[in-house]
Amino acid sequence: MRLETGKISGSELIYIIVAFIFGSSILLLPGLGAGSMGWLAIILGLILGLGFASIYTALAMRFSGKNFVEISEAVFGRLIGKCIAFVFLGYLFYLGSLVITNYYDFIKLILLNETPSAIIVLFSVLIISYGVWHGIEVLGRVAQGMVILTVGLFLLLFVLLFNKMDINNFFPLFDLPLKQFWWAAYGAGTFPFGEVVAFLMVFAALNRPKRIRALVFKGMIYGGIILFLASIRTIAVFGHTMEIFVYPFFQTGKLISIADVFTRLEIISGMSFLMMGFLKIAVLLYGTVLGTAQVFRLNSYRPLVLPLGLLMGLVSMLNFPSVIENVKHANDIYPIYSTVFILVIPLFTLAVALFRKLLRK
Amino acid sequence: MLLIVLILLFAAGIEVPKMLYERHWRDLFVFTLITITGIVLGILIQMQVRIPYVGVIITRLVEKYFINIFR
Repeated sequence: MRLETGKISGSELIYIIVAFIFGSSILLLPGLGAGSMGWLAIILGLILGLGFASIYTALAMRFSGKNFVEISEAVFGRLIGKCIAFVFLGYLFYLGSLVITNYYDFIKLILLNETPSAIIVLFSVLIISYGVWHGIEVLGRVAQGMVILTVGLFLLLFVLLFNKMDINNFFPLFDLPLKQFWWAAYGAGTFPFGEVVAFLMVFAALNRPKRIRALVFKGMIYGGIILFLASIRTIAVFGHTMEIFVYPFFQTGKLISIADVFTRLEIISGMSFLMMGFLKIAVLLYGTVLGTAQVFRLNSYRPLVLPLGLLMGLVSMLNFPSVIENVKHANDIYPIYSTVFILVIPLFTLAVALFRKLLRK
Repeated sequence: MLLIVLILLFAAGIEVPKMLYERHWRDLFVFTLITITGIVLGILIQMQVRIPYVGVIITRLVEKYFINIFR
């Protein structure tokens, strides 16, 4: 029995991927470790991410109509397959909690200082759970409107900041050790581009699975272009001083002033961050809930949406004591252990699938 | 925090009778397990019991065993 009968179109998948990449990465801008070369780190990260995505799409095309839990069971057998799928779902769950942490840190630090964390988390999770409860089809439709609005506002603010940009902030080029630059690029490859691995739980809902690779690449490239522009904007405005800000991209919005009448437009950025964050957490919660229901062979995934969403929210409050620890984790630690989930597990699954096919021949 | 616990109990109040009526025992078991974990965690946080930070534990583990391999 299929637990998810909803279907999404190719364009909806592209929109969801763009939102997913834009998601929390716009808060903790990837490639920051490369300083004024952050834009190049993002380009290299995108290329690396496309390499990762070719593994995911190869799996999705080989096992058309199946998500990662089903693929894992088909490749490794029921018991080992379920164990591997469970570990993968654990990653999706934890990643979801990390993204919630990023958002409530942001909301608490910038927007609602006096509001208790539990209230921020609770209402975010309730809205996200409501979206996930309605299934992937609804998320796909929501993504279209939200991404168009967000990208439009993003480009508008980009243009309004032209007079604050200084080309000299990009220089000197390659003023940091090559090792540090590669690390920043690898970091950008894992966060956010490698996180597209979560879509292994979504690809099965695509109505035209044959075009999957082109669609995923398109979504990632569009998302990468937006991140690249965000990086350019931040570096051009702040230069090396961006390192003193926790959310440098958001801070750029504060500098916009149109004839001293339209000021403090950073709230527009804040709103678009929240919309994209909603979609990213929703995709991760959807993957976790659907996968859990499949692993335990349940009749429906819907009853699990709210409890797992709230549990994700509770774990998010137990992630880091401060936003500084969070930023350190995102830059230095996350790229290391996430490699297991975004590269090792999918590559191993694909290799075993190919090997078993060879054995059958 | 108590609001989160109350919402979990409310969700249980809606879902559990349905599962019992339809005799979906496996669904009931998984749902109960997750809900109870959430309620216990919520109560512990509300009681200000010191629970180790998950992200910090992962950070320390990676720093201790893996960071040299990568960097």
